Amino acid sequence: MRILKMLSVFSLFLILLLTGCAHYPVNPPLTSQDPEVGYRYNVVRDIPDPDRPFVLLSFSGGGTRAAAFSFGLMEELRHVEYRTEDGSKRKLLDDVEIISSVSGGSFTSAYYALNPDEFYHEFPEKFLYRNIERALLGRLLNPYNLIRLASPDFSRIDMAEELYQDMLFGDKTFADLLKKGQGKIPFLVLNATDIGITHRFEFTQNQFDLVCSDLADVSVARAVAASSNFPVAFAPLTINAYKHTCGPLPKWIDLALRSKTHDRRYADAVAGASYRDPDTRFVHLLDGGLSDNLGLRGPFQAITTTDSSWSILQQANFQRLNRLMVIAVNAKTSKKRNWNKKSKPPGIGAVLDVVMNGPMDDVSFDSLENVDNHFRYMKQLADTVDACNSKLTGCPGVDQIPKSIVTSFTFSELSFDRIEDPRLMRCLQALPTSLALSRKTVDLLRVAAAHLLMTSESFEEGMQNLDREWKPREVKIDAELVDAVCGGSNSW
Amino acid sequence: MEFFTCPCPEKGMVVLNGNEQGYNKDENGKIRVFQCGRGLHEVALECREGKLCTNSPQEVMISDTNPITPQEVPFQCGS
Repeated sequence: MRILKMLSVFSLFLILLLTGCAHYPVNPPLTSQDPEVGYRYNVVRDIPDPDRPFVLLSFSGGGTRAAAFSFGLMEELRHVEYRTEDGSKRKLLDDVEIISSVSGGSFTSAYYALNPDEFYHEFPEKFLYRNIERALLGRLLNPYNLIRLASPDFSRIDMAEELYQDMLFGDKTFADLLKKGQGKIPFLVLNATDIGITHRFEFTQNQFDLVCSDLADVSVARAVAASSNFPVAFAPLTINAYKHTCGPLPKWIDLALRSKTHDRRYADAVAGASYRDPDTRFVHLLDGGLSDNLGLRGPFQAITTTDSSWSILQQANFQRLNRLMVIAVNAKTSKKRNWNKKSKPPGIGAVLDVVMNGPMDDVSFDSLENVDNHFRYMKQLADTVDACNSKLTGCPGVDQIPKSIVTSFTFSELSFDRIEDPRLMRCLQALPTSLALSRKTVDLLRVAAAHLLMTSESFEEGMQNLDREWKPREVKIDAELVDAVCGGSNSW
Repeated sequence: MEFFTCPCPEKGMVVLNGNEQGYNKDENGKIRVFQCGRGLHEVALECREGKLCTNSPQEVMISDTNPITPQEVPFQCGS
């Protein structure tokens, strides 16, 4: 009896100890901001060479479906070579300056940035073919974790981060990304959503400057966990915001706030300034898809403004941007619904699905159109200047108008909607958003991405702008693989 | 997209909201056109050593411009 009592007391003590010890990894404070130090675009990348295309990739959310689809793009980019002006061959992959990603796409981008040499042979086995959901559930049901989860400072997302560390990223931090050396790997922008202000939150030092924290010691697994922090399944991930003075806010924020234009710039400034509010002591992050499921919002700000900490427009002003190529991997699905055939309204599950995905899909559609429209508008302006100069040629003594837009823009979107075969298109569009897909489904997504890149007219145009002789290679999608994943020809 | 120039008798580095953007003139001494987003900006010109920009920085609202008639943000450089 006495032994039993002692055991009970000891167990209780152990539980309290484990619960009390369980805490999310705290992001460290930053003493003072230094624009030349930390995970920033100008530290990670060399000054862009105007003779090289500036390639930006964006990877959407969508669980393993998105991770495999973006992996397929990376695989295909390995084969894309062009002839430079001096006649030598160069891989387009070497011109990738920035990868901006969300949720499922962040697993691919982060693994590539950390392990570019091992990426192609390791990532499928370590992540794409694995049942991550089962692994997460296993951790959740582990008694040790169940006790830790009782702590108010440790939640399911912190447990998921540990799994991603063990399985994929190890204890690698943003400092390890910096150790790769300047110009060696693309600048990685992992996007999450700050649910306190419903605004995009990126894992860059410039963003962490706002909360006076040092990103260098934050694990890459934590950033990926935040980016893919699916609501309800996981609790929000917490980042500490420090209140000491580490440096001023970027100048544009004060200017935008004073101008009170109530446009996107103003909204971004309000969001930026909110981190210095004395009451903002913590930032709670959920999936990046809640604010931008394509990973395109950051790039759009960088392309159209000089406010972005990794402004691409600044490179244009420096005349370092002759060719800008944006490739967006969009693993969006669209469900076939037949509600309108019946008087009975859809059930609660179906309604929740629409509530979750409907607005997100709409925002994504606008984001794609924003980039595409902007590129068309810039071309139109450049053509107008050329047309004016052509007319002025005949006018003696009149100066030509300076060519202010010298960049040629290429925007390629890879999405299931663009697959020509309707059966395959519908099959891919109906894939679930999960972290467990069959090996064959993953393989199909990989080859679909390669096929879409090689059949993209805008990509071909962009490549031929670089090298007139460039031709896309033929990427066939194996009919047996399609049958295996999509079923017989009448199944979809 | 907005367009602006920084005319000045001297050549200098254009600084927009604290970030360098390139020289205001090209190698032939012609004024260059810069791009930015619409809104209130702080534009400065850093003249070359020994020269002083007398009216830098300036806060200007840059909007409704085009590449043919960019907004002028003029500077004076003294010795």
